[in-house]
Amino acid sequence: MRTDLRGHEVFVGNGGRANGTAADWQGGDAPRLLLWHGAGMDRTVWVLLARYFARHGVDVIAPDLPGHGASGGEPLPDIESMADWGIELIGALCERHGLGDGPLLVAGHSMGSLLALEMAGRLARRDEPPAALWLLGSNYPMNVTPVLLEAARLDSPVAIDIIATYGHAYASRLGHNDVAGISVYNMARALLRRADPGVLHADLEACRRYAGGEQAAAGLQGCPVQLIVGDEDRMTPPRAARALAGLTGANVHRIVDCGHMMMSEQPERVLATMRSLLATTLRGVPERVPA
Amino acid sequence: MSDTPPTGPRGLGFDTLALHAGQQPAPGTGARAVPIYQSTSFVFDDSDRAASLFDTARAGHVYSRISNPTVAVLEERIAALEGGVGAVCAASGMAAIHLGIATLCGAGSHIVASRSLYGGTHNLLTYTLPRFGVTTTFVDPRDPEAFRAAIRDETRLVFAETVSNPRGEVLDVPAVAEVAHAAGLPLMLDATLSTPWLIQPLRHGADIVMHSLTKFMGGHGVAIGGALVDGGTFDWEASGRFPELTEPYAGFHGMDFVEEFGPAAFVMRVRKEGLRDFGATLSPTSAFHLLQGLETLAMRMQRHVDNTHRVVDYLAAHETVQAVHHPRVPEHPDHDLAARLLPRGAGAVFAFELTGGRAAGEAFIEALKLFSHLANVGDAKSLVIHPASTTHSRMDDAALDAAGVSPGLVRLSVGLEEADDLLEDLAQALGRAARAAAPARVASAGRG
Repeated sequence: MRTDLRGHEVFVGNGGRANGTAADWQGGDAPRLLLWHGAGMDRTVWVLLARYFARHGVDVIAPDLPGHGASGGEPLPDIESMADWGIELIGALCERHGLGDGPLLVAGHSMGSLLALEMAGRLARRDEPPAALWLLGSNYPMNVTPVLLEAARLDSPVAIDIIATYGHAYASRLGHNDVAGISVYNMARALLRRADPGVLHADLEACRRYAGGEQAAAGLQGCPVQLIVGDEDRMTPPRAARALAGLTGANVHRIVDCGHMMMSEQPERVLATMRSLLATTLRGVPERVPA
Repeated sequence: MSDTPPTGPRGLGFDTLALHAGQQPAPGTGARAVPIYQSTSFVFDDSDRAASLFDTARAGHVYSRISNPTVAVLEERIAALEGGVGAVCAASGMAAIHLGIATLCGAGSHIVASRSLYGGTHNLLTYTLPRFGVTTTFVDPRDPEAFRAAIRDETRLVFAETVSNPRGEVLDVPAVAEVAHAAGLPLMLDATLSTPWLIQPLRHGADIVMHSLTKFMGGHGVAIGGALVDGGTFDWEASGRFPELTEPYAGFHGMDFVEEFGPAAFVMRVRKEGLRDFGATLSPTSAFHLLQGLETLAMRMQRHVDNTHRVVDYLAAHETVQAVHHPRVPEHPDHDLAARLLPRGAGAVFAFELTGGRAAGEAFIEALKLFSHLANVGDAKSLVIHPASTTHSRMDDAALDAAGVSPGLVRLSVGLEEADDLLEDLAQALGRAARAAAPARVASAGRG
């Protein structure tokens, strides 16, 4: 679905729900799952998960950040700005598009995980903590290698080579995707190629500079944090994720045979993990628990 | 900071992908070769998974008309070799081209196509598709401006072959892609004769690549198959000409393919609609056979090209040969273009003309012992045919002329035999051709 915010069109994926029903979302007290994409990417990285949860009683919100995918505007310069924008977006969707006030589960991948963390912290400080925070493929601080940053600054295809190569487990680079006929390695490359000049660099800089994790994490008491890591992730290595787990008190869930691009590399294993986490989060609301 | 980009990691090589892409050793058995999943359908773990698979909310196989684990390996391998986001295999090359066209075109649509096309494609575009309201304007593939001039409001596709059959016309892919993109249209190329080892059209601006896998990709003449590869490069939304991809599709739960799948919108629609509704599915056993060939594509193509160069050089120097239509020949109009776009060689299928015309051509073909006279190209074995009476027989004289097929033209598909044996066979057949042509020349002189 499309809306506008701050004078720019915003595309928000909802798992294809709008195409099959009259409304964009169920609204009311339906649980809401907010999915933030990573650097240089867009909402299509969530496609299977979004479609699954949208068909299992969840209102899925998978926005394209400004300057990404089908959203207009320029990329936001830092994680804090993204979090502000995200909170504003949720408000606009509730006010104008029928999104309800059910439990909010905030999830993000890679750069999106930092955004999810910052947003959760801000919501917590407003006494509106999310029901859960899921960080996929995340480290804090999120170091970005100078070589990648420099390649992105120059809009060099080398930046895409680096992310595609180090972002996938070796087996994923060879292939055998669960989705028939699709090369996850080339899909990632295609998505990154579609980003406008400067977008990837702006995102990577935002990741590198983000220093608000401690403050965000400090306010998350009562908000269960889950960290989902690919055991062969070389972009945000599992070893380095321990610091983030310690900071946030997160439970760590390892996805085997999986690199950084976990939603495309291992969609079934990631789904199983998220389904289980959702069921745990929503315990007490059994009719909302997916099968 | 420097303005020199840093060096990136090296991607997996072509030969490695040809052997491994799309497959991991089979779970449970550890089978190293790709197993043949000769099963029409696949068991659902539970009703939730069944519903999710039908609604593309989870990954997996339902029914082999739509997808199959063996075929999926071939599809992913071809996508990897071409650098595409995904591929769909079909029952034949013609099925693949039809799938591509039917996904993007409907009644009232128009195609701009090269006039130098495989005869089967020419039939489809000229005779069959107009019955369904899809018309085609054919243009000179060597003239990118001719493509531009033929584009109309209702045009939905620009189509050509990377290297044409049988005269070896090489398409200036970047130039034609620029014309297509300026008009908001995708460029779809038949890359059957070049294979990704000689050129990867997506890297040069093409958006969709199709193959007859029956030819060099399979390479052994044992299975019919085709493939469509989506480069994930074309911006369907910006074009505004493809509601099939950018608006909800009532035939699939209101799915908007671009919204859901982004760069893979085209290939997903091909599978979800095209394979589902037209059913031109590749069988798992054929996919297995084609995979065996694909594993050695690079080595085979190198040998095909090496042998072709020997044969071309031999024929070009032979006194009974009037012309050799291969870009290797310096006089060929696309010699320089081929050197730029296809530096490894312009393929192993080409035509030549004997000085003795039709009689010499027929005698030549019948005298050959190693070359097989049949209607195929891209086999491991060397092949020969007379296009005017076979593959291009449904064209009238004007169409034949436009396609560059003269009555005396002979087409060769050079195989993997010892080159010296091929030259020996050609030599003896050329001798027979010369003797067969001699009485005709005498008679002709007498009439004069």
